[in-house]
Amino acid sequence: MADEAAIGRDEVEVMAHLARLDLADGEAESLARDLGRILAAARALAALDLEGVDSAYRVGGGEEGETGVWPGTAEARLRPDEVAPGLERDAALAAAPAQADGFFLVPTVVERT
Amino acid sequence: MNGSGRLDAVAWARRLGRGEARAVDLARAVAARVRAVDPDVHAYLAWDEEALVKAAEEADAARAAARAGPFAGLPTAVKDNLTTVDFPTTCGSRILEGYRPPYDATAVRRLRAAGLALVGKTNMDEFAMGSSTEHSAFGPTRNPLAPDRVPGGSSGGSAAAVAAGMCLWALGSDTGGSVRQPAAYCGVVGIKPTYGRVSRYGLVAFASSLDQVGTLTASVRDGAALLDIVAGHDPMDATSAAVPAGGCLAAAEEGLSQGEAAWRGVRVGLVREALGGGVDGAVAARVEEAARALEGAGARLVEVSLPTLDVALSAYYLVATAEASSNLARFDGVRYGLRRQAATAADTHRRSRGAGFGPEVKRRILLGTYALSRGYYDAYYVRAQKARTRVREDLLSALGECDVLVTPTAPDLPFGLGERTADPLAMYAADLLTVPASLAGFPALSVPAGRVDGLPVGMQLMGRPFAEAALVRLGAAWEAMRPWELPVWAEGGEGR
Repeated sequence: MADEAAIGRDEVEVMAHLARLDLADGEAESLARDLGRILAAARALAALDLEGVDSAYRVGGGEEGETGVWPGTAEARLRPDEVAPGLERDAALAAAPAQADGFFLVPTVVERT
Repeated sequence: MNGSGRLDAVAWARRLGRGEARAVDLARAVAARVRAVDPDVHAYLAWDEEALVKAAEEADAARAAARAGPFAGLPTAVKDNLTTVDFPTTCGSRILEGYRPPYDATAVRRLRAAGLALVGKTNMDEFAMGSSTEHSAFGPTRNPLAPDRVPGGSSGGSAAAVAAGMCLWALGSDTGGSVRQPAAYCGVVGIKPTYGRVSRYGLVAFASSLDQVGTLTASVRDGAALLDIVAGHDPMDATSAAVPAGGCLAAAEEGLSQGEAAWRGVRVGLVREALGGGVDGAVAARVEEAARALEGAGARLVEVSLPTLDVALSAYYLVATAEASSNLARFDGVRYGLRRQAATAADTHRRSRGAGFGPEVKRRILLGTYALSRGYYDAYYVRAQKARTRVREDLLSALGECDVLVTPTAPDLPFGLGERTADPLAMYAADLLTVPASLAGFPALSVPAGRVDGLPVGMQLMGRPFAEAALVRLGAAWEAMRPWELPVWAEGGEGR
């Protein structure tokens, strides 16, 4: 656990960049304050003795009597890879902000050089 | 069914089945109630009287032809994060304003298969991130029992709709308490089933390892019946459990008819930490009184400890936000939802998300991004996941000493509108007692346990994985011992 939970405006801006999130003027400062307080409250986690404790990574797919969450990693339970009907193209495109000729329209992703 | 004489959904279903009432009249009464009350309560983001009445007419016709299921035609509300083809699905967010999904969630499909008549979609904290329904982009819901107070959240719209008689029952979703806490605040019953019990297909993801569809109802047996309808394995959800479902209604009816006798010899684990610091003394006192009543019925009170209760809340907020930061990456202005066009794709994503997400969603995405980022991952995310293992071990150990764990559902009474919106930590504190069962994936039930100054107090019962039938049996027996009052809304009062 980090000793210092204070978060700067610059750190918030890095996170906002990673999360592809525009922030309004002044939003970074108030978010820095909130996140600092939330992480400071999480300091209790640092005091917990977690030596030898596994992470609860695997979730779900339980059989009778098993619990919803297991510690430790285990292979995912996969169904056979069989072709089955899915969403029709027109239905999938119907809510798109922009589409043409059966495709989603997006602005330039890679610039032509 | 309860002190006020208002009929629950199961009682209405039986009246319909005996030909004593028609679903269409019930639908019209509910619609009149929505028109009269919802301008003040704001439980619904969308509703459709015409479709409701038509579905009820179809149910009446099917019943006349002996083709109807037992619950056909009952007016039902659905939280706005479950996809529906005939209503928009917004998750209470501008980024999905007006969005029409191309498919029904599995839980919704099962409601329709049972012949239920949908009233509409209920208000919620944006993407289920909140404990008051004030984080909805479309305005807050008010608590029907105390209009200047919050209904809880994030399923506040569903809880308020049930409490105010604007539907007979409702679906919600619970990630860290979002069914149980609003149930407690609105004086109704909430069930968060075992993780994997109900399919998450079509439930818009917030934190996938925690999200679970749950029920908000006027009585315990209603919750049991609604759970029987939606529960069961679904190949469309890889985390859905291949465990036989059903039998909850029968268990609840058994508890109702047994009353006190159902509690005889039951070991009731009172969680010491849940009745102490951080919990309103008057709320704790109501639950302690309830426990003594159970002891009077022959239950054996066992004091148990959940030493990780204080860290569970922090672990929850780190795990849930980490998952949210990943899950909400899908809202990028390309395939659905709001787009704010810019010259490049990356800038379009940034601007669309910046304009479409509200403050709490941004806060959580950034917190989750931080917890997962290089340099902090081990200190925050990994530690939280390990703490989660410890929470689960603590719950299992406590459940080794007793048959059911009892705590208040929420540590406090419904708080005032606007009281906590500027203080995220105060808002998060409302989830203190509900996150352990979420982190562990265990089932939990919230039932009314009296009032303080007219405001409802909820009592939480937690059980072993997939032990929903045992929980509703005990919950219904508690209801038989201490029937609670709901606002009277229809002609009601003709018994069960």
